[in-house]
Amino acid sequence: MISHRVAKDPRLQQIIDFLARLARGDFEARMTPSDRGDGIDAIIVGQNMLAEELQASFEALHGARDELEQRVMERTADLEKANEELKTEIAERKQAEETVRESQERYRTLAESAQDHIFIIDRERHLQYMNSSSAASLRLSPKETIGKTLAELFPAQVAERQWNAIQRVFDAGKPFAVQDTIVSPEGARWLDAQLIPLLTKSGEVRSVMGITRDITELKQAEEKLAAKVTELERRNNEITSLNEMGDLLQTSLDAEEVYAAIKQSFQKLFPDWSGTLYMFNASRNLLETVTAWGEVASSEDIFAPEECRALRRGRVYQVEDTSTGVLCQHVARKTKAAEDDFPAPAGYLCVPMMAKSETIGTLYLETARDPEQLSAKQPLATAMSEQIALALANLRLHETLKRQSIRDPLTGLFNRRYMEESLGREFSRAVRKQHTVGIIMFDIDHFKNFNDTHGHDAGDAVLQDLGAFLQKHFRGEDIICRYVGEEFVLILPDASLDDTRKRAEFLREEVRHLDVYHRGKPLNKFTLSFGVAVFPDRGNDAETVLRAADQALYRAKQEGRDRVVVA
Amino acid sequence: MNTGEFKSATFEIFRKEDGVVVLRWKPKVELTLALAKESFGVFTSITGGKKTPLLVDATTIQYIARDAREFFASEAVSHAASAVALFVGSPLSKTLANFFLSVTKPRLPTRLFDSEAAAIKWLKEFLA
Repeated sequence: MISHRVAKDPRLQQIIDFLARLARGDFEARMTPSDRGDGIDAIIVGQNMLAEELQASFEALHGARDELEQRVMERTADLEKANEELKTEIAERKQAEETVRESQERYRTLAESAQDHIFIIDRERHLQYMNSSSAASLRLSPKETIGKTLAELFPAQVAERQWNAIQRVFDAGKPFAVQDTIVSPEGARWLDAQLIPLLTKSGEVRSVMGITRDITELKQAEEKLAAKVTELERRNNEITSLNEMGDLLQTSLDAEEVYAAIKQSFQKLFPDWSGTLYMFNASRNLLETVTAWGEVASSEDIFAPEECRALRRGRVYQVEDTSTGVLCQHVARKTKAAEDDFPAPAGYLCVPMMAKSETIGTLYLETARDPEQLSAKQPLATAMSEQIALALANLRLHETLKRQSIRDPLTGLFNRRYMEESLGREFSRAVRKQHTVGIIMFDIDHFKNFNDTHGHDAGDAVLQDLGAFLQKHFRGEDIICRYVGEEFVLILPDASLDDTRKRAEFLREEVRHLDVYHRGKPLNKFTLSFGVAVFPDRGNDAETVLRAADQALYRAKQEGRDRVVVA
Repeated sequence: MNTGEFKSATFEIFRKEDGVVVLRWKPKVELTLALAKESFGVFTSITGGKKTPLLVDATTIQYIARDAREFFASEAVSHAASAVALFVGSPLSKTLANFFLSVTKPRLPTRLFDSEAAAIKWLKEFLA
């Protein structure tokens, strides 16, 4: 039936072929309709349009598939690339994490093994971390400190001071160093704290790390060093002052200058202290004040050697508390007698002064306010007393030698050498001042017979008593000399001829009545003969004037002795 | 009286008094994309861009190319016409129109009519 119709209308065969091509996937197949415009043509046109749609869909599908494949490939490539990047990132992150972990471990080990106290605290005052050393100082484990506030771990005042310092770091965002003291059961401890801000990425202070070091030993060493330096400076000043005092003492010409130097030195080295320098008197049975300084001297002006414990012991005697200590009698007696007038000193020192194996005096020092300084000051006082003793001994020796060089040992009068020096000096002065100088030369009448009769000892006694008599009856500026043997010279500065003659007459008359004893027995009276001359009336030089006086004396002898003859 | 009338070798187009625009294809025309665009350009020039119902006389049309079908189903056409009535007569034209409706699926109200009067009546419902 179908084949019959196909044979009748070839368009049907065309449709069958067309459908077969479509079934094989040939979507480009098309049919050509006839001019009939009947139903078969409509089928043909409809099939053509269907083929067109199939072809378009197929092409679109292919395009979509290709695009999809391309996108899959691109996406796969992207994913592979992303995967590689992710692997790299993971590896880098692992490496970074390992580095961070190692770093953290390193810092943790460092912090835990450090002797310094290390902690981290947040804005709410809670401790985030505290190392073992720091926790141990609080007798806690590091874990026990986490979350605690400073007020829970330290006394309130200390915690507040610490927080004030930490707060400054939170406010300023900069490191801050502070030193503080805390009182622990072992005593006050000095702490040096370095406070460092720990910042967030945005730069805000998240927390503060504190590194605290116990610098007590350092501080103590510094204080000791400072004390040593102060002590050295004080000693250096003392040595300098001692040297200055030594210079002053060495250049002092007499005892008064020495005493003035001593007073000045003690006022400088012992400010606010009082003191007295005692020296043995000539008979060495008493100590007498030779100089004193300061406001109060609670010691006697004169006392016996046995009344001073320093002199009895032969070494320094120190009383740091006069209310309980055993006082020297020269102090006890004075303070007891005058207890209403001034209080006893808080403490005092007595330093015996020795020179050339001989005790020459004692140094007394008292303080009203610094008795605790007595021990510290004792070496200085001792050193000063040694210098003073040496200076005074040297001065005495110097005076002795000087006296021996210009004095006649028998009569104590100046010797001939001193007389000759003095004549030159006095004549020069007289020329400058246009004055005169009186010269009296005299000797003891019949002195040889006296010696022969009574012996030389008696003669010496006469000479000694005459010397004492002359020193007693002439002015300080007059120069009395034993010229030779029983012959004497008197130099009277600024004396006229008449004055000189009167003085000679006075002397002649007085000596006639002089009583001289030898071994308890009175000796015979004796007389003197005088020759008087005046500079510049009888010459322009010492030799000429002396010769004139000698010639006048010779004439007095010739004329019968016991008289005054003017040249 | 018709207004805005246009005639070419392949189609004619005009606006009826009642406002419906009529596009009448000449016999044996194979509708290509170029013809589709040309006819649409004339249509919009007649309507002045105002959505207007359109009667398409496809009774003698021979074929509609695929790209031309897609053009008629495009958004541009749906913005220019308010409704389309496809007037068909022969089996071929019915096949073409049915295929257009069922496969290409126009975006605006579109119906087949084998009576022009019925088509006009339906289109008037879409006059603004």
